[in-house]
Amino acid sequence: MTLLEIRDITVEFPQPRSFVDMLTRTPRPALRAVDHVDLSVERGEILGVVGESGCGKSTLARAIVGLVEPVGGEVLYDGTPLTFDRHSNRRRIQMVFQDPASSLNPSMTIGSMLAELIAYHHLRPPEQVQDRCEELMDLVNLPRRYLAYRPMRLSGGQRQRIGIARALALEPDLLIADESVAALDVSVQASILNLLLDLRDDLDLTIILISHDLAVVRNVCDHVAVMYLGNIVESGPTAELFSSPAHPYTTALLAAAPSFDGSRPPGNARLEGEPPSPLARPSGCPFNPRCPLADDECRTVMPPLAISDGRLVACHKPFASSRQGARTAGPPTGE
Amino acid sequence: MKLRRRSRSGRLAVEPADPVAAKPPVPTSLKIGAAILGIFVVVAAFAPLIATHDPAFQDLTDKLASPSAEHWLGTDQLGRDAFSRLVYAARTDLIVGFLAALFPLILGTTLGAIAGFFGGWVDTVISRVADAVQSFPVYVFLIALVFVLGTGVMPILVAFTAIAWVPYTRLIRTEILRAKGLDYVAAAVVAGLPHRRILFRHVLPNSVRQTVVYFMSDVILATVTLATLSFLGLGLPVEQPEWGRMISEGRTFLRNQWWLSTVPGLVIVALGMGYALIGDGLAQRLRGDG
Repeated sequence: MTLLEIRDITVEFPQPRSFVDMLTRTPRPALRAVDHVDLSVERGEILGVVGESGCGKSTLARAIVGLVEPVGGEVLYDGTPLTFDRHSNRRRIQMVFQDPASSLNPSMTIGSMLAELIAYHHLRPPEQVQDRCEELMDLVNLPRRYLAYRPMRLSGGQRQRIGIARALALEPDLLIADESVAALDVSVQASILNLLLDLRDDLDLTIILISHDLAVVRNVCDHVAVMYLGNIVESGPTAELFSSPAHPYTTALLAAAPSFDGSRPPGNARLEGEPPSPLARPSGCPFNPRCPLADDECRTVMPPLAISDGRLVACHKPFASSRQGARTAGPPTGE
Repeated sequence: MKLRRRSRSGRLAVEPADPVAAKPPVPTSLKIGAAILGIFVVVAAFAPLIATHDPAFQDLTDKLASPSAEHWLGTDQLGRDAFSRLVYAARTDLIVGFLAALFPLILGTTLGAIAGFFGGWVDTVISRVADAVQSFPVYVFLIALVFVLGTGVMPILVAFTAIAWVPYTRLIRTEILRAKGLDYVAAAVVAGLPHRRILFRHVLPNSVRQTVVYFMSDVILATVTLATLSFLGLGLPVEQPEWGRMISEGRTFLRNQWWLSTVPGLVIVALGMGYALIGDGLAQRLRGDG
């Protein structure tokens, strides 16, 4: 069952314009960070959103929780459009931020931070707020005495657990983890990911995991969406997407990640150049300037996100699984 | 690294041991500063008990006397006991100095919070007025204002408030703009908390730290400026004991009765050090490790 459906979301950031432009009434240039994105999230799944820095994955997350306002499109939550006035169901979508150092209010104790949210939304009667805070600490595997501490006294991993506890305090259905493990040590990353997996099972959470770390996404997510320059170029079940990527960008992205067994996904994988600026988007397919397979159609016509071979691909010439079979040497790497 | 089917007992990672240390001790500078200020407050509060003479009593037959058992710091040009005047002056200087910094703090913080949080034309108006006030040389503006407003404590407070709010507004505005971009404010927005609550519980408490520290240095500045105004013969009534005026009046006799100017000067320096140490200690403590 679909919990969240993103329909045709576009987010733009207006850029400052020069005085001359203002006089000549040249329209304000806009940076299009998210470009007509469609995405649906099933209840109970963990959806990974991957892509390189600046591809719009964080902006997409911020648009879903209402931190940035999309210029177009809508977000359907449980089938109804999401609004961001105060008494909407926005508390049902919560976010865990990237940097544990700046995502907790340094002047509040952990306990008062959690209690404020519980009390403000009347999630528990006043006399049970303290119990609920302790319960939340148990959920994220931290000692209850930390409730009296300020964030400054906790380590990065512990703060990220508090960040998760804060999100859980509002009893959300959907948790968006925006690069939530990127700033942590690898060993701590694993424990935080374990925690998210446990919480998904225990609390019936749906999670959108935004990451640039393919290993994280591969191990944790049920579905993966790959973003490039504000567009979703491919999405599908994790195992299939990783074993037989259809979009040339996905292929290159997977090839760029170091692997232990030396196996390589299909296609001419090495990418040339940098992604283009979102201020000057190429015509046609956003990936065409760097794509080894690009032809005239790719340079003029934007490929729609269409079903191809059991998943969604936005490409005029996707790798088919038959071609993939011929190209891969070595054992399949999927689960 | 396969995480998904790992049992809970077989967790991959163990976080480092509890890094939680004992609460940091109160900084020494804060203790010393508080002690100095404490002495001044006690002296001001119990001035009638501490002073040996009536500070206004004139004895023209015994003017400009040297320090003695009778007059601990000698007498001034009108034969008034210098020590008693010094003690009574603590009342004026402490209270006026503190209030002359407190009112600008309140006004400046409010305006800065409004400008930073709401932005737009409100921000533009407040910031431009701040620019305009700041473009005047402080002392010239202050002297002109006090001259126009007349003698007394109120004119001095009004004049200080009208000028000294600018740095507070700038500090708070900048801090709030910075805090607005931080994730914990975003988290509060995502949690659905109303604007006012976010401003007062999440933004302001983390923005006032620098202001508190700045306030301490501003109290010194206000105290010294008050002394300067009195030195120039402006502001407070002539008969009210005040350190700046004592320095000014003793200046003529600096060659023979040097203590008349020097001792009040040293007293101002000591008070300033007290405030500075408190500010320093508070800065250390408020840096977030409290």
